[in-house]
Amino acid sequence: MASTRLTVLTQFVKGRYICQLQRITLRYCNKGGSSRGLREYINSNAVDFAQKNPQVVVYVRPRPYRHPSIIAEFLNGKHKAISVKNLSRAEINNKVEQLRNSSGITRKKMKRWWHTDSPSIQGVWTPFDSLPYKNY
Amino acid sequence: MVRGGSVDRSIRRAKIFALTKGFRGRSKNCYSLAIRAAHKALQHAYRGRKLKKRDFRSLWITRISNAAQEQKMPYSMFMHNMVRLEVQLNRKILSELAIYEPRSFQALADLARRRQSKGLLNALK
Repeated sequence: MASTRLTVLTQFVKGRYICQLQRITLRYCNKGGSSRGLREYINSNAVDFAQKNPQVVVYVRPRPYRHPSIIAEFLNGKHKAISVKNLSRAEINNKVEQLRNSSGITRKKMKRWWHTDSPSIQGVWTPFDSLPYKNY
Repeated sequence: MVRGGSVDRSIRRAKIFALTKGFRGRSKNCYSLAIRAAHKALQHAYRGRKLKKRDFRSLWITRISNAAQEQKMPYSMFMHNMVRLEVQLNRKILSELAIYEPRSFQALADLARRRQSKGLLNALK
């Protein structure tokens, strides 16, 4: 039987690949120690990322006296906020790449690992299939 | 009065409370009740994993049996002849054929019927 979760995922395979990440907001603190990795990332890798991915809008927001975080917004309207507190520049780079590669679908356990648009070719069974006399 | 406990205690208990989310009443929030409920739930899950395999097989057999009865043959005859003909389809697939591809299932039933009569003729010789 068709699986609705997999129907959504197959949309991405059908046509041209479209990057599902729409916006990414890097929120950092100028002074805080937990923001050090993110500050380094912004100074070095953020511009490269923005240039390599013109379809993604990169916002950089200073947020004083708070831990750093990254908010990703996807084409299907889903928001994902991840805390990058005390992460190194390389780890943050990995996280951002991960967000860039992901769709906005919330992670959920797969019930069925297959999907089909045509579950039945001969027609689903009805009680009238094997009746000997057609009087309807 | 409620005193603060050690950090280890809260970490240990948090693991139990993670298992008891959605439980009824105090079993999800009060530790003494929660450990009992959590352990019972894990036991049920262990047993359920084994029962699931049995339950699905019996469901498939029920479905194949009903489909075969529609083709005027008992389940035992149908399956016995499938085995004799070395048809490698398992009960899961046969039940899905019966639901989604009824004509294919009918063809298999006819095959089984022919094999049954051939077997009968051989026995009479």
